[in-house]
Amino acid sequence: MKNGLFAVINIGASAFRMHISEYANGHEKLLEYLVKPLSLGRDTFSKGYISLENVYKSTKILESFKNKIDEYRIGKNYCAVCTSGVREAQNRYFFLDHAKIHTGLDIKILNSYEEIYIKFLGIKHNIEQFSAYEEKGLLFANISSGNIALSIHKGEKIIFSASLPYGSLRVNEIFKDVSVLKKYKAYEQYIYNMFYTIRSSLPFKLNLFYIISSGSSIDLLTDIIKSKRDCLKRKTLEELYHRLRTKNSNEIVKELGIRSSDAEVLLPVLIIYLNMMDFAGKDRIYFSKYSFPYILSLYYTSNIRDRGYNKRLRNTFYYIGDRYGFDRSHAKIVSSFSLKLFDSLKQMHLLKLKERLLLEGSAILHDIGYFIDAEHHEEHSYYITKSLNYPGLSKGDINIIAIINFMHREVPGRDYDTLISSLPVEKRLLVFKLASLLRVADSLDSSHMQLIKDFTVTVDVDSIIIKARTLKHPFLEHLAFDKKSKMFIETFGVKIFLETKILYE
Amino acid sequence: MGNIAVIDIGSNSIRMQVSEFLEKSYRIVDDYKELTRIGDDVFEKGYFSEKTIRKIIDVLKLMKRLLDNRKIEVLNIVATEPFREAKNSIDVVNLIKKECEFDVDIISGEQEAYLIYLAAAANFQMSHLKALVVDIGGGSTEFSLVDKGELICAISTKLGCSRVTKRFIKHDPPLLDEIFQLKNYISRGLIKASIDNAVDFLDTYVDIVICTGGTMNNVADISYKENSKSDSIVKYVERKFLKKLTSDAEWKTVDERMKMNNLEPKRADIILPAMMLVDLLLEKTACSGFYSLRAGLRNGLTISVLNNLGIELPFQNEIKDVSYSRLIEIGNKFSFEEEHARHVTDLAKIIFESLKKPMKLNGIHWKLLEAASILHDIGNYISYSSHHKHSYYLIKNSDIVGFNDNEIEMIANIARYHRRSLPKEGHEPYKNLSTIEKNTINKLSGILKVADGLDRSHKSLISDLKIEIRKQDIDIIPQSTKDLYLERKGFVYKKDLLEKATGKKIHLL
Repeated sequence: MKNGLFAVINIGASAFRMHISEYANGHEKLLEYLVKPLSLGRDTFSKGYISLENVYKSTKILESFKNKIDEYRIGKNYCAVCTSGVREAQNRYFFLDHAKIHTGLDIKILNSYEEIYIKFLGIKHNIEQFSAYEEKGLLFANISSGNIALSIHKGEKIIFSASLPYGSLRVNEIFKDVSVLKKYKAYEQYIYNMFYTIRSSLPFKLNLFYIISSGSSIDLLTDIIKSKRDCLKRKTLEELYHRLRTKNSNEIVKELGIRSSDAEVLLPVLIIYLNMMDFAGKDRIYFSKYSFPYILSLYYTSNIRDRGYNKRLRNTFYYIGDRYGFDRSHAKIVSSFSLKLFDSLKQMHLLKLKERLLLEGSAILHDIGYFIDAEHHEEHSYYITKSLNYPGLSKGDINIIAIINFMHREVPGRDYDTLISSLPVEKRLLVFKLASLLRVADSLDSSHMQLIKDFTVTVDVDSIIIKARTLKHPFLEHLAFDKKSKMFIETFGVKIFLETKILYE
Repeated sequence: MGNIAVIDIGSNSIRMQVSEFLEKSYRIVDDYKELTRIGDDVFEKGYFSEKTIRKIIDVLKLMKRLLDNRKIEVLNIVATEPFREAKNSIDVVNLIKKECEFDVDIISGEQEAYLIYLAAAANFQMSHLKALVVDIGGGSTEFSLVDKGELICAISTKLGCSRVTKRFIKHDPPLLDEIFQLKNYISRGLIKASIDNAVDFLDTYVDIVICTGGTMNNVADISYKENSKSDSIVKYVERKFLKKLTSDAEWKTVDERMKMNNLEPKRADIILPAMMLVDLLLEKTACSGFYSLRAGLRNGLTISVLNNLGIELPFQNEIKDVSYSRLIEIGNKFSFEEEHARHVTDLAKIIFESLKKPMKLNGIHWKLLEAASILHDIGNYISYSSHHKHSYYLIKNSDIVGFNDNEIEMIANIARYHRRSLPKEGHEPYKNLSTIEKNTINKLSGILKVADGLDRSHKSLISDLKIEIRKQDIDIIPQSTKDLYLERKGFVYKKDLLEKATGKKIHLL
């Protein structure tokens, strides 16, 4: 962003935080950082909604934040977000509306995958070796009071990513009525169970080299342990845990001199970290001291970028394809054909690089539905794709990839009205354009035998000619092309032809 | 894990199936078919013509290319009736070896019938009934008589639909006399085959007739599409529908038949004898309809290849309950936690047995609950979040054996409500069910939800349950030597639906 002031308001599950910075030539200077403890999560995670009393208290805090914004004359240069404490409350819209009416602040709910992604970017920005760690095998964790977000990175792809409702405050709330002497055992079993479930859903042995963690839990632990280096060791955490596990929160407050709200979640936090080390087979956890509000500030002022995003996303799509037993050679060639068509016909579709990436995604994933059943596989591909979560790819974009997957195959008598009408108006034509390109590309390898090696695209005034070089006469490809190019003609209003020439003939 | 491929060279089509075998199941990764009608030549002239031989070689070469793309550990190619009959079949087999490097095994009609039986046994619960499995091909028709899951006899006849069509139908539309001759020939052929055989299969009581083969599957497709029923691997067609379709098609020309709704054009000339044969069988066995199975020789062949590799599928080990074994196979396909699934099923069974009387539940309900209990977590394969909804989708779209469409919808719903929100009128699939079905789902899902809660740790900590029902309360007394923190928590979170369905407070003591 340009030079000037920027404020971030972050409504977390256990506290409200405000971060005001001044940016000058890409450098950030912290002007003010405010923390107001208020545990919305306690309401949300136990009752499912935020009590009226806490809605009022929240508005009071937000009013004071708004005053700061006015005081600094920040105007609209702010961003206010909330996470699981509000996101999961049944009355979240009332909460937001109440705040808006009384403070004028526009607050955005971050979904859990946006949240992980932004944190991931922040930590990546902070830790120099991050990309090397990613390549080798990295477990990235964000443990906050509401959720545990985990993602496993390896070889420039994300092989697992989930946001799980096992945050420290939430776990504490679940077992609040269990006696102190037994409580730690309940935590142990509960958290072990979560890692066990994740482990059983992963198909192979994990070879992880690093664990990097972030989130409010790190602040708590580093306050207690006072680690000089940016890492926590298993031995230290184990000693602390064994010393404290049968103590109640009052005793912990006395012994460690921490806030009682922190004391209550300390045991779950320790158990989560110890289990995470077991899970990854590592004895130390690296961390970043970047706070979430600071990361938000960098993110919303465009001071952090995600280098390698496209490559990581592409690799992850192939990884997902493998999980669903797809035909890799087919996916690869359909993807390269789709992109070639996209690039050759730029003047006709006027789409941008972002849409190119969506096309590539659906070209890789269009057949994964075969895993469920060959019949109606396009519907199954749609279903599986729609259920994907990928940090950095919005739900809207995932939905578009899913719909294109659905449309990749011609099924007589089918119309797409219901699916298309679920999209915003400006996206409706987009899916037809991308699906048309995918269909043509898919038809060029309909035998799954990669008979067509390459092609050129000639654009005439009223027609497009694909001139393909093949190993032998591609009967199936010609048949499929005739069927699958209909949508192209309807969408772009131009005829498209396929000419094939056998190589070496 | 590896891939196996099988190719079936039949009179009507050449089919290839590639499967990946998993620990306890296999999944078809490629199913390729070319409708070649290579039998037409043989049944007319007695040998394969040059043109037909070329056709066979071309298709096999194409299949070879398709196979080259995959790592295939075992390849098994069989040829049936036209090869059994053609004078020059050995030459063709040698030519295939030379040009495609494929070893083709010409199998006997009885072997063919056995393989069809294997395919049927994987899809039908036949442990307590007598079934007649009929595979109508182009050149021959195979009959397998199965009693309580055991194969009693396997017979091969020359009643293939291409063969008899060629022999009797010379006009288009057929003449009255031709139709009469055709019917008569099929009837005599059937009786002869039955009498010649050690077991007179037409004279024995049969519970169900199961048809495989493309032609009868096409008939079932027509019936289902006409009645807007959703597609499935197994379909049931009533005899009266078959009669109606036969009389509609009988006097039409081949061109007119091609235009009939949903009839596969390439089968327009041969569909009549197939329908006549099945109708005669239904008449003789006094069955009011037949089941079609969209599986055939190639599926049986795949199972047989797996057996030769030393892999027995669950339905073969636990022959008493094919349906149960298939559930385990499906679970394995989606990497479920088998021990948890089985334990939840055991706990659900105990609760079900105690509550069935007051809740007015019966044995059929148990089968639904059992299937849902085994599969309740398979949605985890797609993602942990909302996995109950994914389980619904996967159950709806998996080939679950032994249940009709309606029952599969019920199973999927029972699994769907094993966690999170209670069934609501606004929920899409649920709202379309009848009140009786909704009530049943509430009851069964309520039981499953509690059973799942009682294995919250996935460690099978509870060995048994005692259940005491009082006027306004139900007490569940778990037997365990372990600490049950998670199970107790799980129970508190998950008792809501069962409390609603029973109208009683439920306590875990």
